[in-house]
Amino acid sequence: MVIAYRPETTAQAVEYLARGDVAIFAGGTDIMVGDKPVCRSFKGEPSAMLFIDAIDELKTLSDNSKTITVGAGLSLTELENDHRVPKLLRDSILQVAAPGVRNCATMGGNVCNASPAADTLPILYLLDTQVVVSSVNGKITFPIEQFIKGPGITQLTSSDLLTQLVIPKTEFSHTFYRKVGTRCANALTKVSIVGAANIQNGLLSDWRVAFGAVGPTVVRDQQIESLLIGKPVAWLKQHHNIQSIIEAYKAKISPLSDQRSTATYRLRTSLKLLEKWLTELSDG
Amino acid sequence: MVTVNTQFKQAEACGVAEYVADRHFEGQLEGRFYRSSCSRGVIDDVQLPTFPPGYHLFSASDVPGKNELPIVENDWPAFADKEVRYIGQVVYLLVGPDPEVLEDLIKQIKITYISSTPAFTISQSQAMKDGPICGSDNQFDHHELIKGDIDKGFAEAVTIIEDSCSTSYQEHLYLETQGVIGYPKEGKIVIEGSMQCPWYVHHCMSHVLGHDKVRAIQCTTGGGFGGKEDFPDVLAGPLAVAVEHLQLPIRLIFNRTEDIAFTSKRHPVEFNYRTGVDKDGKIVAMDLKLDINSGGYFSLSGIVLQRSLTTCTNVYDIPNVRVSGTAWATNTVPNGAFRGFGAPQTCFAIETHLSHVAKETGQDPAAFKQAHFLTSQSKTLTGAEIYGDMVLDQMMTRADELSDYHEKVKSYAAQVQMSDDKFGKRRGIGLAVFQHGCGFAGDLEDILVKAKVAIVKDPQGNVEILASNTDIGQGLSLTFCKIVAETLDIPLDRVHQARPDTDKVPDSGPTVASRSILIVGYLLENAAKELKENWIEGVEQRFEQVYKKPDYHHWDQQTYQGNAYQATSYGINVVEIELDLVTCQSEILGLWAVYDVGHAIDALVFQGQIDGGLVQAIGYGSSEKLELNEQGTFAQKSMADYVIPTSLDVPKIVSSLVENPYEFGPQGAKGGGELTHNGGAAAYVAAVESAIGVNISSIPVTPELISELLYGCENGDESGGKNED
Amino acid sequence: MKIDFTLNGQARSLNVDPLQPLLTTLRDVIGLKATKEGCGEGECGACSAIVNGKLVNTCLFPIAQVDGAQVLTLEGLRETPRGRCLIDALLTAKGVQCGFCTPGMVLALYQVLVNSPDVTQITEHEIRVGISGNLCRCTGYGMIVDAVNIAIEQGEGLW
Repeated sequence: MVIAYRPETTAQAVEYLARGDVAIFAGGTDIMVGDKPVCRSFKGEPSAMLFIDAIDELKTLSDNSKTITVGAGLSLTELENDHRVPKLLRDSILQVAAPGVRNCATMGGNVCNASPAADTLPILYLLDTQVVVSSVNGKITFPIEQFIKGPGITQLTSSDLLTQLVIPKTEFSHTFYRKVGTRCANALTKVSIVGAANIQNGLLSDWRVAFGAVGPTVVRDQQIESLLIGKPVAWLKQHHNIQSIIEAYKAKISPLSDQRSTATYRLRTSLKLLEKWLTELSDG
Repeated sequence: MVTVNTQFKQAEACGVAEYVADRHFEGQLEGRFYRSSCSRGVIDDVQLPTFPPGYHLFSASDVPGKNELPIVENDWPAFADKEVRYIGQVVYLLVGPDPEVLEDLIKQIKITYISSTPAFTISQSQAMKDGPICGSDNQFDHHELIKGDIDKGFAEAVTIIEDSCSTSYQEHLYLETQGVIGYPKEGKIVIEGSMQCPWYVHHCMSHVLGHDKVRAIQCTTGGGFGGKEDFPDVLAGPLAVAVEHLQLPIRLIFNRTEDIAFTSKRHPVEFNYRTGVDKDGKIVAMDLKLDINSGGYFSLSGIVLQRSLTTCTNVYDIPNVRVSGTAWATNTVPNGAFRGFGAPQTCFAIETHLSHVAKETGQDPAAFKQAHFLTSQSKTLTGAEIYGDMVLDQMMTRADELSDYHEKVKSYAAQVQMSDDKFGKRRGIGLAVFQHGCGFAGDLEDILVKAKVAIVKDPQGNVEILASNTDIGQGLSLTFCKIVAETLDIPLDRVHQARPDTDKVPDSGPTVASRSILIVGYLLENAAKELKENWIEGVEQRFEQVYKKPDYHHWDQQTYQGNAYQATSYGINVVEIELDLVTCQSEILGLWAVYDVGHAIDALVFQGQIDGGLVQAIGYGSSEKLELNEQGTFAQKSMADYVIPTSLDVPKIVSSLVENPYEFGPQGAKGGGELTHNGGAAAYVAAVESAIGVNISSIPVTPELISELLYGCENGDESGGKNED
Repeated sequence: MKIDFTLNGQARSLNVDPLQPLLTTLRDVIGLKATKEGCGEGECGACSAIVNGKLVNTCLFPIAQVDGAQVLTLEGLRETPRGRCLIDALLTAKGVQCGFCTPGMVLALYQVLVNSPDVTQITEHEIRVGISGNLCRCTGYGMIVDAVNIAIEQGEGLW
């Protein structure tokens, strides 16, 4: 029988982790699938399981003029119902599984599970989210795209606990989000795309896009984004300009075929969604 | 007499009904199957681990009777002994107290096989690489049916259209997985479980054990849809052997992964049409070849094939027809019964093909179909007079009133061209007409089943129904009670149905083929009439009835001539969708359904069948993808992978019934449970075709398929990755 | 691991593997069998129960997290006026066919009702979202959705 720790403070939690051979259990909605519980972020079978659901510190949400700080232990339902949470993130949460799973699954778990098809990750990438990791040695902060290294692989070491996500507050005049799932609810993602832009005085003062489920991690490319930023909206009226952006992303996207969908469909649909969004923007 | 029962299914709703997994017997052991890992081969060498005390292994050599599952033909062994024909085939049953120890023992069993090249698809079966899997030609069954003069028909044709349609697998996905529990009691081997047909399980136990000291009892059953018709035999045969040897209670319950991977599925079918249309736009000839993929053993494929053949022209009067059908052996799980039993495949194919023919010859599909409707004066494909009235025209009018079909067809045809609106949405509407023959095929009710029922009145005037037909969710028990209570004109709460238990109920046949109401309900009505006429207060009375074929019903099984079924029910479905041109996903905006089931004994119970059957059919046509991988097993392994509709995928269904009482059914009722699954896929596909203006020929119609049809030629092959399970 | 919790209003104390799914604890340890196992992976909702006021899939919920919690299953809900009202409504609507999804479905519907600030304003879409994690293969959902309106009508003042 595995040993269970269920601390009430982060300090206690990282103490337990420092002992080694301890796996973290957040919402458990991925861990508990299958015959035996398996933690993606832990190699092998741990001798102890650290349940972090009783840590109130991890369930706080605070904001200031610049950022929103989301406790890693907040459930997706809690975020869905908090209007301080960016609308794009809430929109994506509403499309995760179904209420029973959203009531348990946590924001931190979703990030640490690092699934290429995770619904919230493209939004977190788009919003330049910072991931705060604690251990007995203190805190480290990573930009999310550095924190996630591959499918199920993150910067988290065995003594680290993801405690917070810090999301910059950014106002956008235009946003775009589509999840293409296997059905309308309880659906796994075939492809997802999120976009955000600011149009000021006819110029694209900000423009971003991120794709989910089309590669080993979320695809966001700030170099390509910089090609658009500062351009007049009218630039998008030129069909070949839109095509050049699409071509640039086509080179970055490498979806797989699996039982859920085909590589062809994923690539084609993600690029068509991008084209749709760019065309919408060109209309102001 | 008011006969409303608002407490029907109370035990289920309160969570006190006992499904098999809720049953508990003191000292019960667990059973687990060891399954073949080879899709085609011969067992060469076996290495078994040492079993700890209290753990047992059962194999073909432990079978006291015949090592066969008696499902039509007796070709399917209870335990594979030499040959294996599919991955997942049962080789051993392991029994013991701790499931984890059993799982561990299973991992230690090593079997080596001399394998040969497996066939998974019909074309691979036809190729017979490494020789046939069965017989000399891999054909389990083959029939041909001819009406009129096909050559003369084609000679009159001015247009001849060739077309192919195909359907894929469908998984039942009943919410309760397969399960049985066996125990010895009073000198008999008893098996209780999740099952549609207790007498099938009874006969199977008796066949395998070699004696008839057996008893089968249905537990509350969490859905069947055909999946618990024949398949419980696969569990019950080996389990009976183990219970007889050990004389202890043993339960055998599949987990979901096992259930999806290794239980029977709906047969995939391929249809090849050649259809001739004359100068007036009428079909004068149809030549059809259909091939069904049976899987590793014959099972129910012959009966599925017979239904596919005898109903292949659906509700249409086509003068000259030749249809030839073959059931092919392959190295996959044996396919079996699934609500509709061949008809959903056939209805999808003929409806889709006729839409294509209509469009090709410049006609409106609905009008074209209506012009070919069978009428009360027609003869059927199998040469029989139509018994009773055809009310298809009335049903068409009703369907149009409910759905505004014709107006919408016009308005959607006028939608902007796709190039002007490439990121938008397009609407589409589709209609399908269909039928379902009720009862066993041909005259099997008379020569094979000979259903018997009894009703027993106790001295207090309460009436018990004794029949082997099971309520598997379809509300049969309430319908039976209503038939009897209304005939006797007594309150509904004074009638109840006895639990289907082969020690107690006569063999009124299986709960399949939309026969329970038509055949068994009618016997109950007659038994109740007899009781009413002879009612004596204060004493116990028992009345029995045995099936007798109506005089008009004739059938020749050799020539397939006569009444293919005792009665036929009819339906029309209309589906309206909105298709996103970017993602190729479609949202269902409306679902409408009109039926002729003679008469619905309980309108709400039948509405439950309408709603559930249509949603299951929409899933079949749209999202329920079940594909074979290279090993011949299914790529979709879980409830996350196999995508059935959720509450957000379908809207509320609007339905209506056209009364058309049938003389030999209870209160004029015909069958309806399967009918409701027959048309949805075809109507869905017609709606998608109407939205995209491109013909479709296979189901399920996934967004991937639509995307290929619309954009497949745009940028050549874009495929990037490789297949990953 | 020692677990103390309240199950349907009754205090319970158990010593079990902390990773044991609550579903297993309910069915096999305590013997309450209304909660069903349909898939064992959080996809079908047949094992739904309410933990601390929230609908959860008990097949995914480890018993360690139940320590100190309030758990409500159908066995508890059916004893309350609201539970009885909802079950009656579901039976009136004929929203029960094979019944295997029903215990989970009743709890999901109950959550829709009790989480609504004004039940008279509940939309069909909200009901459908509420049961979107509860698969039903028999009914096509329409008659289950109808049950909510019947419950609101028949249970005036209850909600």
